Amino acid sequence: MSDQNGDMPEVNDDPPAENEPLSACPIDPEERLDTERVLGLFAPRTPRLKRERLLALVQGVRREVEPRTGSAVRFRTPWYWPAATAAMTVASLSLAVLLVVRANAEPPVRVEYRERIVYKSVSFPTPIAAQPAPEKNEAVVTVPQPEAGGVRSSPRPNPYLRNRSVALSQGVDSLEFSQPIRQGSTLNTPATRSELMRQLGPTKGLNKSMQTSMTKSWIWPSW
Amino acid sequence: MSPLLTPEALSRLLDEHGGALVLFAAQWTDSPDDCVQEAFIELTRQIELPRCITAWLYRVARNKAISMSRSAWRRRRHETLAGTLVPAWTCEEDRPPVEKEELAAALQSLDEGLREVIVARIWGGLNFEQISEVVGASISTAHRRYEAGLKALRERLKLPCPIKTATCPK
Repeated sequence: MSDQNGDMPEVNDDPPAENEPLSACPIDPEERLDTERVLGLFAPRTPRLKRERLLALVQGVRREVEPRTGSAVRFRTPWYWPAATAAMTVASLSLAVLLVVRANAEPPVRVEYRERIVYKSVSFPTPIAAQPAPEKNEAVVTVPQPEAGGVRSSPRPNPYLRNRSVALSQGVDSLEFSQPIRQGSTLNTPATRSELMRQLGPTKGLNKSMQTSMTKSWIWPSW
Repeated sequence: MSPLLTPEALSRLLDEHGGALVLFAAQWTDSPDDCVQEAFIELTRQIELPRCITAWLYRVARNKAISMSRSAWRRRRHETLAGTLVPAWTCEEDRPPVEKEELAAALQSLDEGLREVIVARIWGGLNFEQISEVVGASISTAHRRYEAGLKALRERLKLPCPIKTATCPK
């Protein structure tokens, strides 16, 4: 028992552990052999284990373990884990291929904003036909044509909006002067007495020649 | 239970290593026989036999003895742990150089790391690879501990110098 030098480790140059309680110098080989010889004189006493009891216990454990052993052996190489792994791998590869194909089919969409000048046709209100510039001492009065039977054929445009657009586009000077229409009065009814006098007075002779035009104009002397 | 571990094989293992296992477990507990018995029962529970049954038995017996000693320490917190190496040897020589009690006391006075290596090596018959597996250290460390333990034991047992010449320094 003591002479067991055959399995001595050949390499013994590992640094000892930090708290390893080792002596400062190694033991002399002679002393070592002698110590091993002395210790080998003693043999451990026979254990007080009862062999029959131990074997009975082992038999009990064997009966417990053997059913589990069969199931353990059966489950040692389960088929479903490799199958699940293979299925997941196939699915992953398919998705990867689809991703690559799809990425190649559709170029990446890139939105680029550029500034540019846009020409857009704008419709302005048609300007009223240019009127002959009135003389300084003349005034132009536009009187709407009386409708036959007093029935309007089409709705009249809002004069305010029309005048506004004309004023904005052509200037205030190009506005036509029209008589305000009172409630309950006809279109040619003068608003004031002086208006009436203007209509009737000085242009009596010219009235006949002006009947063809849409509007009536009078040359008005200034006073 | 492994089919290789027949009752006959178990009996043979018990004959070969039972005493040394009890001595090994007695370093930590005062019920080493129970530890060894549990180690054998644990061996029968193994589905596959360990690579080295002897080293496996020593490791399991060691772990069970340490666990049992901790439980005993918890039970008897202020008492002295009885895990002592009682004279557990038999000696066939009429006049051995040292007495069993002296050997037990010298071993008991050794550091635990040195003692377990010496017991496993001298009385368990394990090689240093197996010892390193049991104690969880490298082979070199196990070898160093063994030599240091032998030197300390020799000093404590006051063994005479084996070289009976004038060149002996002692």
